[in-house]
Amino acid sequence: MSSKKVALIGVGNIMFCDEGIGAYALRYIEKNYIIPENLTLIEGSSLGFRMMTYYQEYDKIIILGTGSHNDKPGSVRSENADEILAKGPTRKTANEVEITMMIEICSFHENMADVELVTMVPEDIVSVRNGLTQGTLEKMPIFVRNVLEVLKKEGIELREKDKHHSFEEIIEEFANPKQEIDPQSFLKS
Amino acid sequence: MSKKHIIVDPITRIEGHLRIEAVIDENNTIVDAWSSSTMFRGIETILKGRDPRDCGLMAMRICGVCTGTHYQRSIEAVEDAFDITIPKNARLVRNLIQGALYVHDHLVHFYHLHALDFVDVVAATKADPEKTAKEAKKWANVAGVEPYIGSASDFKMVQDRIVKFVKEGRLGIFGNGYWGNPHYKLTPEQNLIGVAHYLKALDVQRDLAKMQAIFGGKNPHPQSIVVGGVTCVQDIQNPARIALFKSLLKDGTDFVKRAYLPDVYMAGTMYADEATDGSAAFHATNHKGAMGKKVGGTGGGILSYMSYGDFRLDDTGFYHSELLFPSGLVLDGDISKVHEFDPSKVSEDVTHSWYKGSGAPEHPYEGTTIPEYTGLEKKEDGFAYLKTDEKYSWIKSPLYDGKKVEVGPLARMVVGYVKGDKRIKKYVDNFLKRSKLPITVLFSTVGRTAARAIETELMADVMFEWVDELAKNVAAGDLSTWTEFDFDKVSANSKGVGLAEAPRGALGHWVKVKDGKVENYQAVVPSTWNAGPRGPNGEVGAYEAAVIGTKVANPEEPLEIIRTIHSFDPCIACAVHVVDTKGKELAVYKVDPACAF
Repeated sequence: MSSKKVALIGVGNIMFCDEGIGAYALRYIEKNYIIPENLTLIEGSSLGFRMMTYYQEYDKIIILGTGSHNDKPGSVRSENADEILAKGPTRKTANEVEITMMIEICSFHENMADVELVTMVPEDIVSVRNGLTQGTLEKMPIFVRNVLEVLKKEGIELREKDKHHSFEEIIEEFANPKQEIDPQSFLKS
Repeated sequence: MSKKHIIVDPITRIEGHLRIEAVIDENNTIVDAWSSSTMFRGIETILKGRDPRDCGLMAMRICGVCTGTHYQRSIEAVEDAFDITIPKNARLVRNLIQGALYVHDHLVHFYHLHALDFVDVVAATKADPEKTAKEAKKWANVAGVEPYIGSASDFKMVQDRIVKFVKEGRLGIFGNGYWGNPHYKLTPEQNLIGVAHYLKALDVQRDLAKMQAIFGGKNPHPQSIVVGGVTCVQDIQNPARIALFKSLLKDGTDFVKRAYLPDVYMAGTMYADEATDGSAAFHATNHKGAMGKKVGGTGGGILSYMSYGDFRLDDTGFYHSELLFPSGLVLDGDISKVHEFDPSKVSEDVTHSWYKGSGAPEHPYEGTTIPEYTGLEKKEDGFAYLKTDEKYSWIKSPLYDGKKVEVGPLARMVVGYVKGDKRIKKYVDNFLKRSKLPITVLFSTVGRTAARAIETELMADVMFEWVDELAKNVAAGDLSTWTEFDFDKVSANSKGVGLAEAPRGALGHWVKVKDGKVENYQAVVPSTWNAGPRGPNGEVGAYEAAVIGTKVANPEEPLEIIRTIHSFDPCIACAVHVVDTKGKELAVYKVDPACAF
């Protein structure tokens, strides 16, 4: 097993329909696989420059999100930092703007993680609603399979847990967060 | 020579992209400007019908940068509706979480999003490291400290790195700058100091981010704040957690005092001419709203400031407590008086926003969010322009008593200063005395940036007091962190507001609760106040006014526009940075920075 410190970061806003791809895939992996010590899962949401911290703390950062390349919806692509920067100034999604920005800011730093972006082309990132379009939902297993392959190349092979959680369950959980209070965590006044 | 129409535009309408259109006359002065953006508004729809106790968890997703701030404001709106006063420990923990956010945010904004508007990276390659060390000492001494980086060899190492990167063509973000533009005013040595601190700040910010998680719980999404208080009782009882917080705060404060402040003294002095150039201010133009006192210079803008007030200093409950940042307004540059803030006078207008409205500005309790996109106008030259006489932004136009106001650190410092707040006066006067600059310098782009630095130092210092107060209170045996309430009773029919100051300015969440569910919800975020379009009677917005009057060195390089917009710290700042001003490759709007008008 690799000792490389790897972070898997899911980005995207779950209030913009398919923009939640990264967040849902991340939670899916977290719930369904046994996570080794050298792999950290971070729900990056729409963190923007707050992600800078992670860029400097890990050997490898794998970002999951939406892509805007001209392929048809559902196509998956993996790119490294140099390929992302080489695309020039054209950016179509907030993710791309923020991720590119962070790579640029941090690229001047000595301790900069090796960054890889795994993206899937969405159908709809404009509608304001929780959940995925049917087409994107059907493609999610392919997306996750690609992410697992990328991890494998880093020497991290994930094993499945016994109990399986579906994408539908995960989306439902995101759409209806409950403020759970541990009775040990507070004292009444 | 004819007028030129500049368009500075990052691309699509996802999560807060910003577009500035400006008209530049034959003397290279900006005579008109419009701000258009695509800030997300739709949270209202998603929150309706939910359990109000869970709203914070969804509201935190409004913005990726101020996640924790939205989370807390949403919870406090519900606490206000339920008439809950949280315990002292909860108040202090919330102050510490938000305070840590301030210091982190302001530092990252200054160095990583804004400094390169003042610092010419390429010019730093020409610096003499020995002279740079002397220069660093000079500005640190102005601040009354020793420099954070003081040796010539350290500066030489940074310089070697820049030279190497330039040679290899790997300048990254630095590759997009307008290097050599005559409106860069620092010497090569000063530029090298700026770059050296930029790099160091990358390390410092990492520790500052950790501070927020000590009491905030899981990073990056805080979870320890709940309706009624906080849930981190184990953390506040643990001396090691308190000690870690103090140690990280101490290191961060050291950088703020020995690098950030000296750099702002340096930039403030070198850019003082622009800051005090009244002929380049909005008030020197004939625009509607350019009235009142003629104070300040480049980038000053509308000169009306508002603070909701925030950071409670005692436990008398919402909107009764003494505050670190007092609430109030200073209007039209008149710093002789302060107006008390009245929440009922807040409204939002959509005359120039892509929403259907009722025909008059609406109070957030009654506010609606119904999209009505009317598009851009393609002119004969093939470019798409904003229809500035009609609707031209996804941002609504917030008004206070019918007026446009600016919010943010400068507003907080001005309101606090004019109100005679002792702590704020002490920090602002100290800055003015040491820099030997007049108070009017604050009413400018540079002043906005200086106010943020002054506030950072103030916040870092006061957090030591809060963390000690928390430790003392816990040591005295008070462990309570949560106030109990009867949900069925308080949620039958109530309404409340979470009014606070996010790092970027006044933030409000308004909630109406009926039969245990959210009936209506509106959030008016800081960048809405600043980036909003014209008001119903043509009142110019804060960004728009700040840009109007500015003299540009080269219309092909909108350095001055970007510098002024960045001085507000829009959450959309990163988007402005990646604009390709050559405009040939932008995807959605075909853009040319200087097409004939």
